[in-house]
Amino acid sequence: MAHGQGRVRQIADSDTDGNAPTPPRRWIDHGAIVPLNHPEHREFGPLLVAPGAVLHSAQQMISWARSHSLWQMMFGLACCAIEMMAANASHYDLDRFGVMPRGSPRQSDLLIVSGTVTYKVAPMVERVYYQMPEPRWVIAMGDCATAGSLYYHDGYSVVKGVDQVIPVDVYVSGCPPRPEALIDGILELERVIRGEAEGDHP
Amino acid sequence: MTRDHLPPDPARTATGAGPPAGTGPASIAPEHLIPEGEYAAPEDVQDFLINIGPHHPGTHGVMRMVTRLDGEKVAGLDVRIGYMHRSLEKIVENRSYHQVIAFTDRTTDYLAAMHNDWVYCLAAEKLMGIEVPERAEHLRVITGEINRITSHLMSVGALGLDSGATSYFLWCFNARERLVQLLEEISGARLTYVYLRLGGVIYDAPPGWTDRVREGVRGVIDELPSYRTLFHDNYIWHERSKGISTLSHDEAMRIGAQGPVLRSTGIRWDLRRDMPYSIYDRFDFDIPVGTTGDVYDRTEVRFQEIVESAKIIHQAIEDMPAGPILAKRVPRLPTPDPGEAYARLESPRGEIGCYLVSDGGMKPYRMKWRGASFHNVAMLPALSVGYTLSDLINIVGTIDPVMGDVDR
Amino acid sequence: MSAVPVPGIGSKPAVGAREEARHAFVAAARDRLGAALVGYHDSRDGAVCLITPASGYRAAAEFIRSQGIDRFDFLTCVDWPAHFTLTLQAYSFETKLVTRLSIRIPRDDFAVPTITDLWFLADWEEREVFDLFGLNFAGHPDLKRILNPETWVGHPLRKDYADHVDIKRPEYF
Ligand code: SF4
Repeated sequence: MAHGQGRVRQIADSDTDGNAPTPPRRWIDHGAIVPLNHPEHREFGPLLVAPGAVLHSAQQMISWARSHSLWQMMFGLACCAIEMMAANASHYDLDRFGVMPRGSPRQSDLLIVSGTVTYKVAPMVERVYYQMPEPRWVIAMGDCATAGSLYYHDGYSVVKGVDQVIPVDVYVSGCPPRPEALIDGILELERVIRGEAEGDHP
Repeated sequence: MTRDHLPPDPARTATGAGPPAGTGPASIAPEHLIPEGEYAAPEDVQDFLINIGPHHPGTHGVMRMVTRLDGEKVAGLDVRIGYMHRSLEKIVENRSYHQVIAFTDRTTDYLAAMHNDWVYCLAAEKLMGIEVPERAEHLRVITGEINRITSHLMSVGALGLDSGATSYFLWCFNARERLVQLLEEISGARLTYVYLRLGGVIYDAPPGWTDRVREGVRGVIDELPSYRTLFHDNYIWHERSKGISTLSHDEAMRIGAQGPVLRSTGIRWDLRRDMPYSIYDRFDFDIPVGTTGDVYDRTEVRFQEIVESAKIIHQAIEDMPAGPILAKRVPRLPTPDPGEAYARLESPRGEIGCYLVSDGGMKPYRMKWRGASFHNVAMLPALSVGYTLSDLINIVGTIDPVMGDVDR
Repeated sequence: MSAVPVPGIGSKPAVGAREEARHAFVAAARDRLGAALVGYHDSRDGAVCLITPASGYRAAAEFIRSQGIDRFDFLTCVDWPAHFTLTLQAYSFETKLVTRLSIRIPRDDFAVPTITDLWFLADWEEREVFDLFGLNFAGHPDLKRILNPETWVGHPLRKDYADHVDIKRPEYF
């Protein structure tokens, strides 16, 4: 991912005269077919970009594909799980984004920790996470999974954030987050997977 | 292209119905069949244990069921709970009486948040002697009953999901979504409405809201016959639900069944009518009951309660007076006299209760939450032993546990 | 679906029936419990509260059960500075009479007899009280923690449970 980005930034910086339109970054990142007369060809001529070729590293291509078919582990913990179900059901319809609920961790790429993680359930969350095949991603949905929420003080049985147990890629705040917020979190995760996200993602 | 345009199927036309004699599975020669005795397990085969949960999709939350199986039959069941224990009772000992409302609607039965806030408010109002204005009572009833419909839709829809009828789940969610939007309009939240306050409610109905409620509820009720055709009258559902996990009156009384599970055995017991709270004694509604208390009846009771809730909503909107929505002079930091108060209420899952003890301070000295699901899950072994493992998932679905209510 | 009529259930009580039931219940309690009944009062939510010494708990519970009070509400404990109060509430389907039984248990000696044989639902409630307060119920068939993990240290709902400020992490962290 990183290689593609570096080059694209270069193009954008060098086009300062204002005559040639800056090529949109997404042409390259999304693997669009680059027209022959486009300025990028002057830049990347030696890189053998022929008409109709897709300018991509294999890694980029794979990430792009992965980011659009996130199969989600059905793991409802608490109130947020209801909103997660609402996001999966007819009105919000997460299937549009290639997010399909799966019953088994062995078949899923995405763990949405939807709800409060207690000390009693934390080992199970951890186990489910390690049962998922690599590469796997985690969304902490709701304030509870992010930081313990209302139960931060005096909640003797609540883990103060699921990131104490498993690594988290995207946090979605809200108590509960609306389904739109969850969808936004999933889109953000797609950007993380494609390496487009801003911020200090690994 | 419909079936009529297809070329006629020779196998069908030959005999009129079904494959002609001599073809199809019926024609397997007897010598090819394995004699029945070979399937039988040897005498010395032991029962085996199978663990379901804590995150199995069929457990409706995080609950663990350690099942002892004899063949495919459940011979023993050990239910382990506590995975969603969120220390509600400890937290509220360190919060003021007003702050508790935010906890009761999340930490307990979050599918019926209105009812949980309501029962807490009832207990606290009893403790402090607060009178609730008429209009607020009506708004509580209307929002509570809408919430009951959403909860029941969720329950029967999830049951469809459990038994393989995914489209039924989608239909139910579609209807639920429209009602949730009505609740959002008045309370500002989709799931955890902190809408009730001690002594009333916090927001008045926005202009035109009652009309939209009427329309929305009527729209859902009008759709119910098609739901019935899709799922409740479906032959497959009848096969999977009738006669499964039957419960008699006496047994239901002995194990303390709650709510729809109790009513499905034929006992016409509903706190809204039998120990009326709020203004429920003014409304005219039926209490649907079943006869055998099996999986079918429990689902049916929930499904019919949707219609009754709609009746209550229409009546409450009809009678709703103008006026204040919050009692005057509720202190910002209430300090009720030392004492105790208990309130109970019929939530979609059955009877919930809140026991409050005050020592005269600003915080509740002790709160005990009596969850309906807690008691319903406790009786799960009594309901499911003797039925198959695949029925167990449906049985769990029909007692409709919400793990927040079980573990608090 | 039609209802199978169950005697006594589902009919609205006559006006004053609850009052009558209350009088009969209190009279019977005086009669049967005798000196074990320390006192009784009507709480502000309309329940009849019986108060007995800790030694009379089992007898009082049996008495309540024998009066047709079949519906179990809850069993809970309150941690007062000097003692624990164990409170049991149940009500009757028929008369709708709500009864509450409270006993005081000294802090240093807290074994109470179980009532799981009287009400089915008392089983889990007793386990919950054991988990959160550490009260022992003598004769309970399976007394172990129910909400917290079995390795949990301490009884969280006691007022002197100081751990909630800085929670001791279980081993897997
Ligand atoms: S963040 Fe809020 S809605 Fe989500 S699980 Fe926690 S308390 Fe429930």
